[in-house]
Amino acid sequence: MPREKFHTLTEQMFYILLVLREECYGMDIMMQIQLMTNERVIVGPGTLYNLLEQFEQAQMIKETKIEGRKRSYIITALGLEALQREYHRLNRMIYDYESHT
Amino acid sequence: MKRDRKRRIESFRFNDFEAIEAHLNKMAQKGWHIEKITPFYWQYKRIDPVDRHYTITYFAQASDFSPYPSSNQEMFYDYCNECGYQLAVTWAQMQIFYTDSEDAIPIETDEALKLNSIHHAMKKNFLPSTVVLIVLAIFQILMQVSSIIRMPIMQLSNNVYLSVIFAWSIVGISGGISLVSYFKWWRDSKKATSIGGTCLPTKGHRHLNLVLLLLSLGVLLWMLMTLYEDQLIWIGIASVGQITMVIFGVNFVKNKLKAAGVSRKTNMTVTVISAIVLSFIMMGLLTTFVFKLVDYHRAHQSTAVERTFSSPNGTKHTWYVHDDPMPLIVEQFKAIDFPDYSYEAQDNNSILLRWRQYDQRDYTFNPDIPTMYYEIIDVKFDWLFDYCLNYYLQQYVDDYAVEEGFKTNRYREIDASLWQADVAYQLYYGDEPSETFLFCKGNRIVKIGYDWMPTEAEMTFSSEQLLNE
Repeated sequence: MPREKFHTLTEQMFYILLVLREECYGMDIMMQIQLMTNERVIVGPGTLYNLLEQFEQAQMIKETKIEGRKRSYIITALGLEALQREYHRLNRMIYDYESHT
Repeated sequence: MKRDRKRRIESFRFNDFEAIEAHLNKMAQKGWHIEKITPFYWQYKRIDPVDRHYTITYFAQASDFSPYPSSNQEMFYDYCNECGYQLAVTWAQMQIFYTDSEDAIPIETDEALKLNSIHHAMKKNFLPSTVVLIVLAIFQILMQVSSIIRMPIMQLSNNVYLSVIFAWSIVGISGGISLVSYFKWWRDSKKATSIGGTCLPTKGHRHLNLVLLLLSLGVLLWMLMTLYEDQLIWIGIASVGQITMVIFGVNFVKNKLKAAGVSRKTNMTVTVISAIVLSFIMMGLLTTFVFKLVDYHRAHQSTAVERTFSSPNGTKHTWYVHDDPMPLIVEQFKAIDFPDYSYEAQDNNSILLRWRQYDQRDYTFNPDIPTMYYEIIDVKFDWLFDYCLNYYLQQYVDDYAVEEGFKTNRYREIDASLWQADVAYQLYYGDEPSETFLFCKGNRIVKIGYDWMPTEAEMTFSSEQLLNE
């Protein structure tokens, strides 16, 4: 089940979906994540390719256009739902941490 | 003049990416860059020595039969190129990239995903082909073992036959090690990545691979030497040539279809068909060649003469009549002068057994002409002796006849002193003694069949000749 597969997101999955709230070309996703996280999070080209393929299969992102060999993607409602679920999970963790320290 | 290219036989397993990466890094430091991988060798191109970093990824959708990379593969290459990686070479699903940059982003930055894509690729090619190879090896070994059970003396005294068993055992062991080590690595890596760790280092067993490769070459050499001793070296050369031709031919078809831009599915279908057809053609040619060579060999043996005889019922048959040296002949027992005897000797010698067969025949099939047949078996290992003796003792036992209470052939132990042996047996048909005897001394077994019932003196004389021969 795709939803079960991405029930929680890794850091790299989270940032890819975050970047794809706006239409973006594959390689630009890598650059934007580096900029966004000040190079704290790095997504390698193999990992990026695999995650985009899996997100697309899970209908969490969709292809928007193909220019030559370049493909652009954007997040779908399913992807946004996963992103928000992860955001709430992280918030819950922060809340738990703060209330116990 | 320095060579610009060199070819090496490499003993890496398909899943041993870490050892391959380390090896290619070292080769680049020595000034050699990987250029091509074929089933026979890896080809390197001379470059200036450089600290180059090779990275291997597995792309499950890639195929050795595709005429060009798929659009997904090209997209993947583009991503890698933009991160500073160049594609060096592909080997089925294995994609070998390199970069000269010290701080290039790793191609894989998620270990669980990396493991997943490796396993996905392995399931497509490496695992099924290894399983097929192991099944084939087990099937071959079982066939050979069942043949040994049916005809132990013939098979165990033949080095070619034994070397075939060794060769298939090496194939099976090598495949088994690959499979077990891969699954162990995959299981342990899965555990590690599921708790945020990294994939475990692959254990390439490179030294073991090298040992197995050397063993295979040793077995091949042993097989060829045995054939050479038996003056049948051309069969060995033709067999090796046949396998090489099939591999070359199939690769040639695949590469030509790739170059012509034929689709992956068509290429795969045509290549598989061509492999089957080529194997059958080559097997047919080899069989014809073997028969012709054996015929030639027989006809040109110094003692073999082609002669036509009439049998008592008047029909004419042509036989090869031999004049091989024999340690015991009918003339030593009977005052007979028969010029048409064929004296036939065969000597099979392996690392386990020496089996000599002697047959003094009369192709006129005249019932008044006495004939004789005997075998001398020298067992080279004590542990094998009882097995060989038992084979002879059970040779004529007919379980069905025993169950039904019919008369059957069976050896009975007799006084061994007549044969100057440790133990002796005589074949009986029911309660009727026959002229066939079996006797052993030390690790030698002798089976002898006379055309007449030998006297005690003849028995003693026979054993003197055959036990001390």
